[in-house]
Amino acid sequence: MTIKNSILLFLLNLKVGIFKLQKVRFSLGILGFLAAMALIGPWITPYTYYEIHLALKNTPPCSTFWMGTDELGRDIFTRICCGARVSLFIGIVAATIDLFIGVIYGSVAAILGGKMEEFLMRVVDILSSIPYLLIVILLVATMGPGVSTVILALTLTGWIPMSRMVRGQMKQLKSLDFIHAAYALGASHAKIWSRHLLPNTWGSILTMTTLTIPTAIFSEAFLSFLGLGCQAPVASWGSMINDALSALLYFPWRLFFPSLCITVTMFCFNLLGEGIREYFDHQPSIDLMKRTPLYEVKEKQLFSNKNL
Amino acid sequence: MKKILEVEEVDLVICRDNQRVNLLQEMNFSLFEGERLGIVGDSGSGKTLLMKMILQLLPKSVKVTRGKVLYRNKNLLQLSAKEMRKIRGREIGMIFQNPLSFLNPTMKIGIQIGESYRAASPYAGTKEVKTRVLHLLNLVGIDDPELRFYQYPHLLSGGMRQRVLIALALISDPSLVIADEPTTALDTTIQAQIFDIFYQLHKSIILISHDLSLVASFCDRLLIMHEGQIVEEGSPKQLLTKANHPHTQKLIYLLSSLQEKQAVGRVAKLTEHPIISASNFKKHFSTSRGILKAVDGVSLEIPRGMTLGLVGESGSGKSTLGQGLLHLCSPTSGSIYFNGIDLSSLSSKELKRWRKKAQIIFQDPHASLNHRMKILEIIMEPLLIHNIAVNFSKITKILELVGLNQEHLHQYPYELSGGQKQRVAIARALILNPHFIVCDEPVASLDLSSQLQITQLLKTLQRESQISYLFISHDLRMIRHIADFIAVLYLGKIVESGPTQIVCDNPLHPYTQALISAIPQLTLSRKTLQTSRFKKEILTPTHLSRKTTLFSCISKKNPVRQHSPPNDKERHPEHYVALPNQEAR
Repeated sequence: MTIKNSILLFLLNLKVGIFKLQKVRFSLGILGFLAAMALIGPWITPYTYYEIHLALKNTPPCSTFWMGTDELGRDIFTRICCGARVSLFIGIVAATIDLFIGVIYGSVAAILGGKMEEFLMRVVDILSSIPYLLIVILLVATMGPGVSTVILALTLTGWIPMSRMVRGQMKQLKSLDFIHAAYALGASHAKIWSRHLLPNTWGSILTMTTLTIPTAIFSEAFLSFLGLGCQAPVASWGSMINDALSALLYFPWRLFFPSLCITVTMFCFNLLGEGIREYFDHQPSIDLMKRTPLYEVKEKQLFSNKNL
Repeated sequence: MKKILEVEEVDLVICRDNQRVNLLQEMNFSLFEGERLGIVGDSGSGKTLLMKMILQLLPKSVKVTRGKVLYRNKNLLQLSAKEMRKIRGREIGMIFQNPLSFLNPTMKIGIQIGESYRAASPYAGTKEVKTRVLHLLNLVGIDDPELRFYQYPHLLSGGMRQRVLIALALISDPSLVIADEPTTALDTTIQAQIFDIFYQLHKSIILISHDLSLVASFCDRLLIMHEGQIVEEGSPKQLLTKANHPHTQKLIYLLSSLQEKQAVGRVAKLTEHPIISASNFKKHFSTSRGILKAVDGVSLEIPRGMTLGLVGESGSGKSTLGQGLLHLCSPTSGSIYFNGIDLSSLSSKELKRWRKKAQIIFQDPHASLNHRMKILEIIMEPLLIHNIAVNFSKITKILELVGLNQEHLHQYPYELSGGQKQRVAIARALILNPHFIVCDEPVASLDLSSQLQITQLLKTLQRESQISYLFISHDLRMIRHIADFIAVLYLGKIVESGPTQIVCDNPLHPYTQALISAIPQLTLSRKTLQTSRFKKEILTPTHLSRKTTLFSCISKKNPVRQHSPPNDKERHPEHYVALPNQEAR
């Protein structure tokens, strides 16, 4: 491909419009803030996440300990910031690995078609029939608990829904005329994949990924809760919730803050996914019926005014 | 005569972005008992909206701002939803455009029709319902109703499903039937059959269509709609002889230009060197029910700068043949020669280079353009694929050629109209300067006026750069308009072929005769098509019984002129007709 063509293509495919969506801006803003806190948070406070002040254990939120302390007198704010590192890292890394394996596997199956596709999809079926907890327990038994184990456990079967979705969407696209037209123009499989199949599934892929991230964070919390995730003194949001549960009635703030973080993160990622989906689905249709719901509200106002 | 429906001064409005857009303005018409009213208009003229307005099926954002719709002196606009439900189906029956999407695929035909009968008369016994359903299935011309009663919709062909929908509309004996483009999705011979049924109904009918010639011979009165207004009203005779409104005049002019025959003397001749030729091309698919012979031994050749019109009904294998010629699917046997070179002997690299010379235009421009790409990107895609630097002067030249503006370059396909989208598809096919283009029903999804514009464009391009076309269509009218040669495909075989003029003037094969007689004519008298009418559905290759030939489909009541081997004397040397024994499968 000539340089001129590549530059042209790049300019044509810039997707700036996505940042104009309120949902995307809002969720990216909050997620950015959380990420910033994860990076610089521990330096704001004079404490470290493993520093123990037994005399000050279970302090409620105050000016010295912004979110209080836990049962060993460790500063919860610092621990949440460090926990954010672990949780966000696990979420994003696991989702990214899922994305790559899933998209590649699904695309290969869809493009090859025939017997190869059948074989690849049966492999997926077999993998997905293995119970998830069994894999986790086996992994913990062989590798020992830790962040890498959690990531491995999450990605070992996590890419399966992605690959199924990608294969389904691409197969559907493959039967459309513009793909036939591209083949008639002499395009190769790779070019059709990169120019037609991928751009048309991008929306679903990104949406699915943004929804995988909170799931992964939650799974990590769940595994930590079971004691299979990261080990003390390393904190993650999940393990902090686990610790807080034992004294829920007496020191509820210990549960409140990490739960709030998980909730806000999940909400933001869901919102982001929704925004991405909206952006990619957005096709101003001339069809009357499809536009209807958007205008219903305004129209109601108008008609009520008229009646007055 | 009594008026059954009166629409008085109705305005329809949609509100968008705080702006009110008028959709329909001053609708004023009435329908008498037993009258057949035709509503004709291009897409977007508001004819479907009008039907939905009468039935109160409008989306919520569309409001009637004034006027009345009186049905037997009841104002439909003021009825409650419950009262309206009693009118729909029982008093006013409706037939929709797409028969495929209006039947529940999980319900048996008989049960489905019976259900709506039961809604109308809840105390009917099982036996009564069944006899009523069978009676109706019989009425709409479904053979073996007992069998069909217990079948699911997917086992029926498109024409059959449309008949079922008609039965569904008639089940509670409504006094008014509204049909919205009832035959647009169907083949021409089936279209003629469906209109036969309508003719025998003796009910008040409102028929909505974009094809003036179709309704002109059928209806007692016509309304011409244009951009949300009724621009003209009158009997077909009035309209066809002295139309007042320029839009009606344009419609009639377009239609009559379609019917014009090509100048005599331009009988095309096969040259020595065809640009593309197929010899004994076969494409079979193996399905769960056996081998499907989509294309079964077709030989044809297309001379340089000429058009071969390939006509056949759905399921005749015409699209498969078109894709086979471009080597988009590999043939089961037989070979394709391009300029004398066998395509199957080319390596994949050579094949890619060859693809510059042969292109395809698809039926539905909506599906053949990638909606994530801007028009500029779509048009320059062929250049990207073949690593040719994008030259803007070339793109502007192509745009001019197909009649688009520079402004369109930065729009997305969904912002264009159907005709404009098809122009983009043509531009994409043209940018590599091909020698041969397969046009796979390029106008079937467009309005009549854009149909003619597109065919005109294709003709002009051919004259300027000597491109050869394979023009695939189910519409013999369109083929007759554009093609130099004609080939009639039936069940994967060519049954008749030759220069267009000769085949159309003197069709020798009964199938061709049926196709020609099913073309809607812009005349007042309703044609009697009985001479070569297919009584039953025409077989598709999925009906795999081996011994059926075309002749078993023809009504015994109307024996067709005996299909003897055509006499050589009355036949043009290039006029080929399949013999009866060659058709046996």
